[in-house]
Amino acid sequence: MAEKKDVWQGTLALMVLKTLDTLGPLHGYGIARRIEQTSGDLLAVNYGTLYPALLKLEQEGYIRSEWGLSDNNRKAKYYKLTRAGKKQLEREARDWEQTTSILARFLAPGEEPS
Amino acid sequence: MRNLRAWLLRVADVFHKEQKEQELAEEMRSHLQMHIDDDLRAGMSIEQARRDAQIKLGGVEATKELYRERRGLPNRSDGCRDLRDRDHRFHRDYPHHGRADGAVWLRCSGAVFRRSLRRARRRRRTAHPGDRRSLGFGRRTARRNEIGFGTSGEARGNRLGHRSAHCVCREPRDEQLDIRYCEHQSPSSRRLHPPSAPRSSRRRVHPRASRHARRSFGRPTPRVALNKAAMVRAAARDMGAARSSARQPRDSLRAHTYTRAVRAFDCSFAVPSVPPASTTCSWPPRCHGTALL
Repeated sequence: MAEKKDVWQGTLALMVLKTLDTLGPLHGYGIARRIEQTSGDLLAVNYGTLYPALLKLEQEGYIRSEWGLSDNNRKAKYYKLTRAGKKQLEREARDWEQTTSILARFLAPGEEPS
Repeated sequence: MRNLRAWLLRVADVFHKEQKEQELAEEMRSHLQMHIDDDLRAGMSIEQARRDAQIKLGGVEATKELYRERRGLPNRSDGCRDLRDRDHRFHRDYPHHGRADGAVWLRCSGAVFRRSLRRARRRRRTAHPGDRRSLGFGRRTARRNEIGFGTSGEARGNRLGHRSAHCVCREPRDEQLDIRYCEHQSPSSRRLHPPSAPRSSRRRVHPRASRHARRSFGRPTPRVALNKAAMVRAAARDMGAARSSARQPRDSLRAHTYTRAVRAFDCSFAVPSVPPASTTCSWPPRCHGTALL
């Protein structure tokens, strides 16, 4: 079985925003499990780092939280994407694509000099 | 803008600390419970499930601590500890400077404290050995006693943005000399040395004289510590007033005496240690009097 990798620095916020955009309001545990599942169990999310990241996004106004009941009838804090969060998601996704395309150019096999 | 909003929320959270703590504890509890439920459904025993949930979370207290760091304002206790440590080291390296208790007590920022250290080091280069003084927070400094201004010349100069409002000369005090001024300064910033009178006789500047001098010259009168008795006697000699032979002259005469004296101090006329009988003063233009002392 392949060894699980840690989440790359600076990408957790993007993953959280995308998860909330896809699945709608979700609690912290649900977000973490969803990230792991989406990565095909290749990423190991440290749940402890997820909550400060969620708080940061909330302070910046990209997500909003409210208390609700989970499927098991347990009290849980649900996080929801705001309009500013959607814009931020688009921006970050665009930046990420640009970054990967730049890196892809470096890693692509270069033309042999004649 | 986002950063500002985040900071405002962090400040606001300071006032709802209890409530936020309760919410955080509740969230952690629900997270662990959901994880345990999932693990139980996956066939783990209750002990294993609990252990797995704790490990995945990375410890409840550690997570809470990370969360608190992000939620509240930066902790001041670390900065205060640094200050105390610096104070301790400074006292060890510069024992005759006294402790930087003021800085530590005020819990001032690191920048303020660093500035105090720089000032203290600068003073150390010019200070008389054996002087004990505080790092700019105390009122009584050796320089103040030496120069005799109402406040330390250096402190006043710094406050007003002047570069050399204080005397840096290190001439020994002369008990026989009533008034000297420092030769080491430019004329615009000349200040008089105090009379080497006992401490009890210093800083006796007549309030009316000060007001009068301010009116006359249109600028604040330097609060020079005067040897009042010597000045009155000298003024009396100069004016030839028989009334001034009294030890306590009338108010009008006293005011006039002080005014003349302040004028004499303001001009750049050098007062020798043994004054001549009469010397004409030429500076500033408004001062046409004769040096009194």
